Amino acid sequence: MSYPMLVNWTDIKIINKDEVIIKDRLVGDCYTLDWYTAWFASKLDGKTDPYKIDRRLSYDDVEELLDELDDMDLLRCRRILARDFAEIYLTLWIPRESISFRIASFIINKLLLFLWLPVFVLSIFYFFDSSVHINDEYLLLGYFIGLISGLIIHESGHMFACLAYGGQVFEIGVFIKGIFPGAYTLTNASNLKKRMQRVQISAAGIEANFLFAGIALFMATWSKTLCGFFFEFAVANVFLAALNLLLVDGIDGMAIMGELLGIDDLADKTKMIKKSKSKKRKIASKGITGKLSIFVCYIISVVKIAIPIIILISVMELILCLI
Amino acid sequence: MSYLRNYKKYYQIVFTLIPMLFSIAFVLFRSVLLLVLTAVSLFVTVGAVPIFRKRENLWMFLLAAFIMIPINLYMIFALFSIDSLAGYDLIYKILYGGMLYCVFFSAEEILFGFITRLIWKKQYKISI
Repeated sequence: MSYPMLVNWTDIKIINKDEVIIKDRLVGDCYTLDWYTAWFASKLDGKTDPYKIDRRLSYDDVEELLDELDDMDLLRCRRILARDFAEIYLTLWIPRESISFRIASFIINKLLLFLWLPVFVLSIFYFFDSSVHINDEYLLLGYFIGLISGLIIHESGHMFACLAYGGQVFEIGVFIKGIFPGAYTLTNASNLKKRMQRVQISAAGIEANFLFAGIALFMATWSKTLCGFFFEFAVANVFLAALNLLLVDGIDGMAIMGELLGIDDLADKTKMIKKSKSKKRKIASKGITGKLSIFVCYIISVVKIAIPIIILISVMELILCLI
Repeated sequence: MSYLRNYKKYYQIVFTLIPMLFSIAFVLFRSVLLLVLTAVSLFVTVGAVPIFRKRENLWMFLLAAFIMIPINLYMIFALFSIDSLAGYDLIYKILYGGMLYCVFFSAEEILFGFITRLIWKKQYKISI
């Protein structure tokens, strides 16, 4: 992607022969552009030189058009997006939505939905029933490969579920926030009316991790030489699934809980209630439901403590490993 | 009539205490049946108490948060009594215990919330 590209989370809608509306699906903003600028923007795919799109345009004209689009945050130049201080996002894949891909996603999502629990539970019983001896070989390798592939599996789960229900998937990528790495799937499921479909989109990543942990446990039982490798692979996937279950801001568990409780932006509301006394008083005046909502938000905010604990445990484990 | 109204209030309170009793009984007698009864009684309570109506998920969240405390603590202590984990330092046990509690709590809340939403589909939207 060496040339500027129109951000991949936009919708272009033609209003009349003079005006076109570009909607930023990520933020929800709409921009009205003249037909020519919209046509120019649609040609910016990252592979085309903007100065060669229309030979009649001078260098200054192209610069002006690019500036106009850039002011609306509709342009991106590289795969790496730096959104904030110490917050870097790297785009790995922009899926092209086709009917065949949607059908495949539908089948994969159905399999995931019905298989993850039986496979995971059966594998645990089978593993402990077989009284397998876990050898020490490839333990660390298994864990790291499990973590990396677990992240890919997790994000793929979100993508397949979103496409299966008719949502939009903009991109899959990795990020670094401060010192913490992670992966993300940029989706738009606001067009989905069924609550349980939105819950499944958020839960699909966790389900995928449990499914692969189950498969890895079966493999650990059957394979004698790679038993340790597959066991640690399963451990890494269970760890990722457990981490994503937490009711913490930015984690799948919080999105699922928000949908189940019927509270939009649960994470933001929890923060707001803790900060604003007037807002708290206003909600409390709504009666027992209001008071209960405040109490629920306080309970959720206590779960945040899990994150520093996990960091502390990881640091301690690392120090012990080095010693 | 006021006596009757008070009676209604008392039965609501008693209803919410039943799952807690099953939960404590599970820790004392370690029977899987009591664990199942705890979960079932939670749903029966949420369905039976009039004040919970149309806000089942919100009340289920609160009830599950308190009722599952004994079971979660029991599970964490049971996990640390396994031979391979028994030798860990106290600080490790406290940290791991805290982390496990958060994971158990979140998983239970999601599971109970999911089943509640499946049973009671139509609920009031909560505006905060």
